[in-house]
Amino acid sequence: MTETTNMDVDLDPVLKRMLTAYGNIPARIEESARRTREKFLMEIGNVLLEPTLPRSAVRRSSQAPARFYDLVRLRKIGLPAFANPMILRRLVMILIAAAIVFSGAGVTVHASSSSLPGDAIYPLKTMVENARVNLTIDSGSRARLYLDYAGRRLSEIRSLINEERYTDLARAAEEYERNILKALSAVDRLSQSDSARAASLRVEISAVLRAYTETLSQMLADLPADAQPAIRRALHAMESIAGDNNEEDDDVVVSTLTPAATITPLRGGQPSATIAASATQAATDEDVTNFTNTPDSAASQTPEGTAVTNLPETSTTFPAETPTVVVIVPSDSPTSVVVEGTNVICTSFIHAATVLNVEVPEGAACALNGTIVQGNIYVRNDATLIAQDVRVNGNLQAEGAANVEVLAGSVIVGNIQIKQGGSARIEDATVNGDIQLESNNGTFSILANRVGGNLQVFQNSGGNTIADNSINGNLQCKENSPAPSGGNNEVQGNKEDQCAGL
Amino acid sequence: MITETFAMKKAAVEFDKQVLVEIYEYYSPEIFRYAFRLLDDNDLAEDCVAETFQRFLIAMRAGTEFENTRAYLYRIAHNWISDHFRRHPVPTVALKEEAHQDPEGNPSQLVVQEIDRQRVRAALLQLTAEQQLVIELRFLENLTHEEIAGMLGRSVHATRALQYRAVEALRRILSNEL
Repeated sequence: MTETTNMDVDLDPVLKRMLTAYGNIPARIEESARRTREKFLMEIGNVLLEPTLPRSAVRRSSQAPARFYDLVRLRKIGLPAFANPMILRRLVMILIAAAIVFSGAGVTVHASSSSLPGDAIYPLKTMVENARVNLTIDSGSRARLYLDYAGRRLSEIRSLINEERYTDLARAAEEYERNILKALSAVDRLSQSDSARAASLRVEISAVLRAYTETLSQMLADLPADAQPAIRRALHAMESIAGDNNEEDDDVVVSTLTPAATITPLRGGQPSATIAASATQAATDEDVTNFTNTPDSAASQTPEGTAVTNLPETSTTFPAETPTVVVIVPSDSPTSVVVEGTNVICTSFIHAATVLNVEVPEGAACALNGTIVQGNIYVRNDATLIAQDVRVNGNLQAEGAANVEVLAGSVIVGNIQIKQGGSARIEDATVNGDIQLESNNGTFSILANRVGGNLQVFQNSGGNTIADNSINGNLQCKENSPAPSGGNNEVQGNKEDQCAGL
Repeated sequence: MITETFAMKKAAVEFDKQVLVEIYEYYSPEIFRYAFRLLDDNDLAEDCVAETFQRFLIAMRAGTEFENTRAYLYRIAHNWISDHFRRHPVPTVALKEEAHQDPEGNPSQLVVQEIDRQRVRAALLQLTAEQQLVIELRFLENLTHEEIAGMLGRSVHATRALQYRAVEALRRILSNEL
């Protein structure tokens, strides 16, 4: 403790003493640390097993912060053992031990990825693979993913043979077959929406299957007679699959899509949601339930909070731009109904969800907390928006709004424009583009933000404070009455006019 | 042992469980310290850590991209703590019975230490997120300006400036109190 610390260098003795006292904390209590860690491990399990969307694609969040994983029950994805936190913990220990042993060079070793059927941590590998599939929405990509996994099973079989672990072969061969079948059913699903692509994928798959079959046959040669049945079975399955595959033409049985109500396009929004078809005949343990259609009655404006979707029943290809799904969020109910990945009209709140565009309609109030907005946020006349810890990949536009607050570490990749409105607060945010406040008549404060572009404050009345910001562009203030106050802004460009001294 | 390599981040983004656990192992003590210092309560600090990493998982699951895992974790923790204090405003400085003991210290020294801690806590809570963070990282975790700059995504120069302003603000608040 005799070495010079940063405190020695930068602080006076009094402040150093006080900060040292503040910094001095007792050791973390082991028991509670362990509990927190177990909680985390369970959450990983929960989130990993969660399909892309909860079973009902319409997710209701209550007043308490909505966490979608709260809705997840550990499901029978065939790994009931993993519902047990004790087993999970032991596996993680093994993983970490392996990582520590092998990562002396600072390179992270993925112990699970090289495991083989029969190894203790092999199920984890399956879990990770399943998770990746679930993250893949497009059927064509899924098909490829499954093909890839089938290939991995073949390498595993090769390794098992090399290690003479013949008893584990059956399991590996089964998994191999399973993946091939899944690849094929993914292609089947694809053919309902894009038969051309499906057809070309089938050609690809045939070629891959031929290669795999050859590999399997060669392996047979390396096996003692009593270990051969498992591989023979796989080979046999391949032959019948290959046979079916070749006979396949575009007359695949198309399952009808569940009809639902109509779509109301979002005002001013871009229709850009990609909605995967939800086949009524789903593969056994995975639904392509990315956006479940609620078979609902009718009308274009539905009353409270039902997911409103419509997919054309008979088309074999989706239109290039899939129509927007709009969810009406009821204003009088405390719950917020959000469908991930869609445009939302917000009249209450949205928590940790990923949505496309958000509109706060006239006179409404909306609170966003931890939301990820892939598009833009629009705040209409007389409306209020409070956004905390959000990420907006597009712009935030408010016109005539009553109050707009962007707080707590929010990130806006585009611009913030607040015009002809009332009050505003932008604090502790990162804005890659510009911030423009124009002709607003309430007070606003712009504090401690990082602005990639310009900060422009024009013709506002009502008083404003601009302080502690870090601005890459210019700080421009004109015709505000009263003039802005504040200071301590770090500006790469120019500080102009009324903000020259800030 | 672990540096934030590209492979690590990529794996985290691909939701590789193993890497997620390593991230937890590596950063949770630090986040705990940060939380404990501000919250001064073991259970609350553990709650903060749990919540922080849960939100991190959600973000990973949602495919959020961010520059720096560590900074992101601090950010989430900070937000949690801010929310907490919004709902439970900081009580006026009161001496606690079991002050954190410095075994070498005599009783009056312990009292002074405890008072200092409470005052610094209250003062830090009045700073902005980044000012708090710079003080925590620079003086309590002893990071270099370069490391902090990397985390905050700023230049080293800007980081020094931020530190300077933060210390000034802290000093001002503490002396105003007297």
